[in-house]
Amino acid sequence: MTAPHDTTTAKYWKSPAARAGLREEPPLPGVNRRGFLEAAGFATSLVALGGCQRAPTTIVPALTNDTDNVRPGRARSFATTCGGCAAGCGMLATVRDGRPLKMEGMPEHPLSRGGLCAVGQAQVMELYDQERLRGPLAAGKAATWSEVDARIAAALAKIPASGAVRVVTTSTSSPTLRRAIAAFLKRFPDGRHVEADSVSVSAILDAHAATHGARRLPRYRFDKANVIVSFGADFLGTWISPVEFAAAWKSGRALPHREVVHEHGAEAGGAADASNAHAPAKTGRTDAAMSHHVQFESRMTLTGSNADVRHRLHPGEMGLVLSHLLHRVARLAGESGSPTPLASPSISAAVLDALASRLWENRGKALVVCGANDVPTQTLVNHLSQLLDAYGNTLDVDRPSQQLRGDDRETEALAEELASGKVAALFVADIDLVHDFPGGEAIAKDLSRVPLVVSLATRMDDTSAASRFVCPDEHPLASWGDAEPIAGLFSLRQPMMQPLGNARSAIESFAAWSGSGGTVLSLVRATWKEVAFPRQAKETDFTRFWDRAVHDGFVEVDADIEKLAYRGFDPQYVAAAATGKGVAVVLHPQIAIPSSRHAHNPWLQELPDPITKITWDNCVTLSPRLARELGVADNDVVSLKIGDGVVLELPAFIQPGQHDDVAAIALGYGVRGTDRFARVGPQWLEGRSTVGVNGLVGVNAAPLLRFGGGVVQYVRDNVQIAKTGRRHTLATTQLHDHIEVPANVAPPGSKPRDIVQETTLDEYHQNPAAGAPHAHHAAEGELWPDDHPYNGHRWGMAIDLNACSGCSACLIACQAENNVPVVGRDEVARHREMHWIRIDRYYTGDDDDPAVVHQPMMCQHCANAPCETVCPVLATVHSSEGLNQQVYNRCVGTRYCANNCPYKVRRFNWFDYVHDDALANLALNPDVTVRMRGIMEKCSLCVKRIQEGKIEARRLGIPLADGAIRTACQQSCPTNAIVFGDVNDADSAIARAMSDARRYSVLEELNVRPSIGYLRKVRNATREEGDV
Amino acid sequence: MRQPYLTTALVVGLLFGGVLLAGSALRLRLPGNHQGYAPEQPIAFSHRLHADELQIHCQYCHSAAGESRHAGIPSGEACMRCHKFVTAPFGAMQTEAQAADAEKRKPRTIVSDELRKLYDAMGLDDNLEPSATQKPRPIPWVRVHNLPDFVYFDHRAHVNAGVTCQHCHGPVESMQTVEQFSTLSMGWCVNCHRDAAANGIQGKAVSPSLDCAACHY
Repeated sequence: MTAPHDTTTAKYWKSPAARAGLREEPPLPGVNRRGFLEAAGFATSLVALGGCQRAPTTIVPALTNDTDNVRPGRARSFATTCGGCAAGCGMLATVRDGRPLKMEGMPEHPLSRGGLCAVGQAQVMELYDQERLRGPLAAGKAATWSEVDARIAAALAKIPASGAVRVVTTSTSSPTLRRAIAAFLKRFPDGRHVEADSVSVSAILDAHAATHGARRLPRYRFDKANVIVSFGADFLGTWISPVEFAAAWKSGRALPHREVVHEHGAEAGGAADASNAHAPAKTGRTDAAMSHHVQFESRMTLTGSNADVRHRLHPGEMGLVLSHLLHRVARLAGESGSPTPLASPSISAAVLDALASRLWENRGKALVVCGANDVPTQTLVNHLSQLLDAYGNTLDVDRPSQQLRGDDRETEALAEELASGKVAALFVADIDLVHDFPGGEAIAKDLSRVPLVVSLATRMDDTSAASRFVCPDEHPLASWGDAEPIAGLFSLRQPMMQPLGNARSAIESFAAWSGSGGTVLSLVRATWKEVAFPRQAKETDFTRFWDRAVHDGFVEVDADIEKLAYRGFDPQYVAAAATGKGVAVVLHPQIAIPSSRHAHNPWLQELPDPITKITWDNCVTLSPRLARELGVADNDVVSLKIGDGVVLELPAFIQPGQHDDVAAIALGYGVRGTDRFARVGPQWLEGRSTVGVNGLVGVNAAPLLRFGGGVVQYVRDNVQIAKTGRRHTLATTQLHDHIEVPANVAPPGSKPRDIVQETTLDEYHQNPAAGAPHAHHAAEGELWPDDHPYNGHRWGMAIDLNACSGCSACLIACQAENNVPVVGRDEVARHREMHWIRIDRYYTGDDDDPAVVHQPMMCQHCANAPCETVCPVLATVHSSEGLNQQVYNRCVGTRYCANNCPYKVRRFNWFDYVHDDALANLALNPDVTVRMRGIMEKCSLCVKRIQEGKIEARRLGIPLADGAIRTACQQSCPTNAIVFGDVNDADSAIARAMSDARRYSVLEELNVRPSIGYLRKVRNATREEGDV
Repeated sequence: MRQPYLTTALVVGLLFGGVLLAGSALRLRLPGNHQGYAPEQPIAFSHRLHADELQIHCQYCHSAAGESRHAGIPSGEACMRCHKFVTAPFGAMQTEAQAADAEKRKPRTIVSDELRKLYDAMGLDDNLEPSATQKPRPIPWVRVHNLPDFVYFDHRAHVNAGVTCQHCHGPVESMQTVEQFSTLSMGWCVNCHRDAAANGIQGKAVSPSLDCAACHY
């Protein structure tokens, strides 16, 4: 049934309001006449003055010493371990002229397999951050390390034998840091290392303590699963180790290359009609293995948006549905005595029956994951996994994950100890207790009563503001370090540059305070010699072992960990399962800002969320129905109140696909110091601030968190939502650069464009070209066949919509590679964001419960490019290799090209996006022009990398190999959704992708002949289940 | 009423400007063309002496030219490979050696004024030992060949294609102070690319690109 307000015929749509034909975005204030004249006057005089400038003298400071690693103008990559979150992905840091510039994935790394997420890539902005603390502070004043160390030692000496000393860190898998902290705490009878995560999975570890006898986080093997069922776990977006999981998830869903079926000389690729649906395919009928992914979730997550089948579920009902599923699987397994769950769930019995038998048929190849931080629910998952024979197959507890190991019980105990005044000394590293934890305000007050509080934060956060000493940790890109994300996988971190200030690695700080001292390098080396080296037999000489580790970035050794067996399960957990109550608020991490640590990163703040497409804000998302019931529209500020009196006020955003009794809010916003972004972006007459009424970016939702049941509760029931009457415009890009013809200008009777195309696995098996639109577009020839014969290279790109998860890592890769400026919230709201790639997110199906398709969209490098024919100054011209070149120095800014671009991928520099922060400028890529005001720019297909690849191959006298040139977006993609190369090279991966039966061109009917191809999405579901 | 004065001022100004410009009218060039630019360098380094008289190969010092976008300014250490021993002009060192020989003593280290600047930059004292007071610091060489920020020239591509250094930089081996020899304008680049496409470089066929994105990105 379609909603009554659905007036359009479009199958794919971008927002509920737009679908209903309403104007969703609030009108922007226009420029008035006076403002225009003022601006014009200023501009004229500035231009006149600017013309009088003399070319400045450029100084080239020569190096005093030759160093092996610095060759002016040449970039080198070094293996290291990402420090963006606890996942510990392998990373290659590109260093040029002594400074790290671009973070890329490490293809050899067993976890991340070449991908790197947006956060990992954006960390250069955190390295070159003016506000990163450069040296120790004592009582808020700059001090020297010797002074601070002496004062801390004196304070520690005064601690009585019974005094509690607590070191709180976020989960750390670093063997050296753990050793340093343990050595430091040995001196104190009551010393403890508490690991606390701002987004915790404590319940999974607790559940394994109950069922396996040890707190352990299994390693999830999505690559080994044929059936994946996720209960609210956003494993492609934010859950535990998203890059690892995305790569593994994709490897279980990769489709083989299949050519278009040719029959009787006719091209069948254009039509999926019945006559050739059963025709013998050239490659034969393949039963391409593709995992089946079912997602039960309360809000629309990135993972849910990629699921084959998605069910909306109240967060309180997860346990109930799980126990029903468990009950069915237990019956199939012949297990007797499994108690019947009491309440009946909102998911139909037929769905659960089918799912249970699908899981049972795939036992040993099934994986059930759950994102709920609730011990009974996770225990149900463990028992279900045991019945499905997942342990040892799709779940590894013998080489478990050590990425997250926070224990919420200990965090709660710490909060109580702080409140009771028991703690004599507190050391806080890499975590903001006051901002991110339940009862943060109380913790802030309690901290003032602790005799010694030392923060190792890298910037002034709420906890460091309440600390007596701040001993800033060095940035991961500027110091040695290590990680052991999976037991037995030792991953090394090496410094990429000379430190920019006087910060000191936490490892070194703890060693200094324990009296043993030592440099961080010597400490890491010692750990590796004593812990990692003896656990392998490959190398017999430690120096060789170490050198190999430094070169490769990681070493696999034996897991020194006891094997666990399943002990059994207490059936009372089934009885504990209940239905959800009232409107629940769900607190979740955001993909761009997974924790408050990254709130100071302008790239991440301006990264549109893959689902809501909101930048520079958090908000409360409501389902269309709940919003209707409350009378709330997008951008209305609503107040949220839970029984105990916490009131939060946030702007609302209507999110299709969210459960009707759920309000979801992102954590990690409203961070101290984000008032610095008030004036980010151009400052002009009509410009508005990027921060909200609280003076910060977004609102901190952590005050809604509570401890309960031994865990931090991210779901709170019975929230009351009320309209405040105020409005706050959210800068969302979801309707920007819309390439569908608007309903009001479309010719009568015209059909919606086939921008995204998808099919089901069954149909794909029958016909590899299934899902192609019925209309066949005859090619009408090239515009310039003689001018552009494409005799040499012809660059092309293919994007596999079946692999693309929409994670947006490519956006940041492009931003870092191509010096894409940050413009601020107001400019984003004015459709002036500068990202060269955008990811169009389309909804399809029901208004309240749609399916989602993500489609990266960038310059299509058309052979018959509409932009090229309208440029009056030939600033955008075609290259002999098929690139649509944008020549900045010719452009005069008429913007005709952008108007004529059917894909809306051109970006205009409305301002000089001032680069006056000398430190942040160190992140600029010196090989790509920094564009000035008044000119057009767009995706260049990383032509800088193409040139580099060609010249380097010529220098070495070797032919240019397929895959030698990788664009920035392709390099970092965790799912390898992007293929780039020379289409003229018949053996290349791109030539294969372009001849794939799933390949299509967006807006093919325009005959612009794009060089970018898209591979159709295939859902492993029926058309009804998957909304195909 | 004041108009006559204004007109007089305007006419005088125009005449004055005309006289000023007339001198340089013959040397008119496009904006941004700095042909002939020969800035004073912090050390009066002579390419004539090193490249011509001593026949040191360009890439001995500018060693990155073959493998990097930039030819590179040699590091102080590269200078020290010779100037550890050669501390003053040959004549001065010869005189001191003869004097020392006559006086039967060890020759003193004679340091010329220009090389003193190098040693200062390297943080070395009069005996070429690391100085206690002076830390090494980079020599602030002044860049002679400036391209606009939107142009990306790659030495590597040209050196490996067989283009000689002198083809663009002119007879550097005869320059006491290096000056910009060519216009470095786009037309000059493109003409050479066209010419090389037709005639090759030193008899070798090459395929220089005429695409905008070969240099502009």
